[in-house]
Amino acid sequence: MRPGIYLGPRRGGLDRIVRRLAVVGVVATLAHAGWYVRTELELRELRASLEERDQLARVDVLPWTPDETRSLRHLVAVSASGAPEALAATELLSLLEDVLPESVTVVSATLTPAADDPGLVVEALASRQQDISDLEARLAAHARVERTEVLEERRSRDGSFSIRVQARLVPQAPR
Amino acid sequence: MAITMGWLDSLYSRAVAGVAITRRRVVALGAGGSGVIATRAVPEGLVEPQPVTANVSSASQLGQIVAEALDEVSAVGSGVALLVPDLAVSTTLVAAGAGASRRELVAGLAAVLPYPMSEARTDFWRGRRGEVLGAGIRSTIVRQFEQVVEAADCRLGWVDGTSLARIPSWARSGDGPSGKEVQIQLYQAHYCLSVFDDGELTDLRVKLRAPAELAEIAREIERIPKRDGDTRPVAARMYGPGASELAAMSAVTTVDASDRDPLPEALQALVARGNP
Repeated sequence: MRPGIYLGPRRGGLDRIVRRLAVVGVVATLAHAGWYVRTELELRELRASLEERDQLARVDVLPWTPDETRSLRHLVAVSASGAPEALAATELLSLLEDVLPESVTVVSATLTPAADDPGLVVEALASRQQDISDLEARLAAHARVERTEVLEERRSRDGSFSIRVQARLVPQAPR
Repeated sequence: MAITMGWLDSLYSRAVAGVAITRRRVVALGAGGSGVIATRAVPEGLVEPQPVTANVSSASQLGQIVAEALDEVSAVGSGVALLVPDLAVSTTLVAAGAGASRRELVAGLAAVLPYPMSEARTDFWRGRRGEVLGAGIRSTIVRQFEQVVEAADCRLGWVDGTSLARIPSWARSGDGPSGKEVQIQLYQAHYCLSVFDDGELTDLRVKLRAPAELAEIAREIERIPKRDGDTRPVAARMYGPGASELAAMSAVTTVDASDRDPLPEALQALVARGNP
């Protein structure tokens, strides 16, 4: 119930609008603060989870031992973000699996899934020269591969052979 | 939202002083419930309360008197609630249960205003039981009084008619004893009679009086229950100069009669409302 008759000047509009805006501002700020805190907590959780995954990723997928038949130590996939026609990294991995001979360890694989210039760079180790050459040959012969280029080939002090080979893939026709 | 608005309002709230202007006096009440009162005499003819034409013949002279009174209660520059003379205010009362719409209320008030509605400042107060008290004052008249207060560097708070200020608190106190109660506020040149039935305001009259007309007022009070066909006892409360004399000649039960000036209490009731 109003406390009584008011015969004073009309409390207009502006005063009332300013008060209402102030209320809306306070409510919006509180809501935003709540949202910010919640998001910040989610972000922290995600960051922690990412750090954990990063720690795991830093660990060699498979420690290199010459006796292993086929192994992968380090994998780098260059994401072609924003490119809808990009190859799936799994497709490139599948190709790598097809061409990888027994007794060869992949030290690193850099996948470039961009649709217009797909490719991969493989650095591999083997105890025999033959296995290294075999990898290069299989790669060159693969139906998806347009051409290959040996970037580096050397023999280590421990007697193992290493190769860094780049494979350019046949570009995908636009879907 | 309402809670937040209330909270924001409380941030704005500051102590409010009060000033009442009548034909003969200016009464100022200090802020913050200090109870400090200052009274200044108003020269004859400076304020002539009536509803149609200008009430103040010299705003600067009245402004000076008001400023002095406010200065005495240390209220210059503060928020000030203002009581304007009763005779400048026109009122109408719509009974509870009439279910009048806003348009009907405005039309009812317009009928009692002696000037066009477009020139009026109006407001309606709804009682707890649904009765509606409407009041109007000509803008040019109320503006004169407001300017006098503003000239003392004061912010205007509530503005109400002198006798109307206590009506809401009396109506609220109606949850207590039930029955018919008559409240009379006596002033030098007029009186205000308000009737409450179980806390509901059922009648309000503001009339001119001559000092010797107390017997006529007593008869008017006695007629009220007869008019309504009410056999319940009537309790009367009388305030202002001549109240005890009126109580002595009145046949109804007088619960309270005080010859003290009713203006300070009206001011206190207005100031207690806080900010509008």
